[in-house]
Amino acid sequence: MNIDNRTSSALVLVDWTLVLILFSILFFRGEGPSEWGMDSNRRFLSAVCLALGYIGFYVIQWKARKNLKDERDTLLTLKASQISMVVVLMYVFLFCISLYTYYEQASSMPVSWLWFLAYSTVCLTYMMNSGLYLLFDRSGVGYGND
Amino acid sequence: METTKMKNSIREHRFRQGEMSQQKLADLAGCTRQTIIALEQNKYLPSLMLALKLAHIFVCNVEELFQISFD
Repeated sequence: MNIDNRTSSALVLVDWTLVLILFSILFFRGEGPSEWGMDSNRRFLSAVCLALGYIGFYVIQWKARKNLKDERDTLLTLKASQISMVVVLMYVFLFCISLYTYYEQASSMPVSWLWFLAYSTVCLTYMMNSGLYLLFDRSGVGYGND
Repeated sequence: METTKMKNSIREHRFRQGEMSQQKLADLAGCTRQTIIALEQNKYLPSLMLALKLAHIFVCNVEELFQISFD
């Protein structure tokens, strides 16, 4: 069964949102970042979540492989990628600055935050790309009437 | 010279051509049905190549298919 570009984007959005939610639950439960680093089971489960996310993602891509990609799809993907890149860049920047500000007085910070940053950046990138594709697909990409 | 409005008459041409379906037109033009829908709803500005293809399918000039008005 083939799925169209719109459906595949929606499924990708759901896929990575679920991964981010599951990872956040694993990361923040209990003592949160300070406990997460010591718990190898949680780290393993997080890796499993990410792996499942990628498996789901590639299954969706496989199901949509026969779709015709025309100039409008290319434009939508390009616009979504451009804005995603800026949003993800801002996210990483603000996340790092926030960590620095929060732990400035302490001499150290839980290294687990780097895991969170890594995982959430992957999820956010895919979420933004597919979400923005759907948004532009719905709202249109201009007709010279700007 | 500033653009004020751009519109097209793809839908009218489609119906004039024996109520051609959006899918049929998309297949002929080599694009997706979503692109034809977006064009008809004035939500997408096509490339020159696609505009020429559509004009060729409807056997008309690009200007007959796409209209632009200026201030």
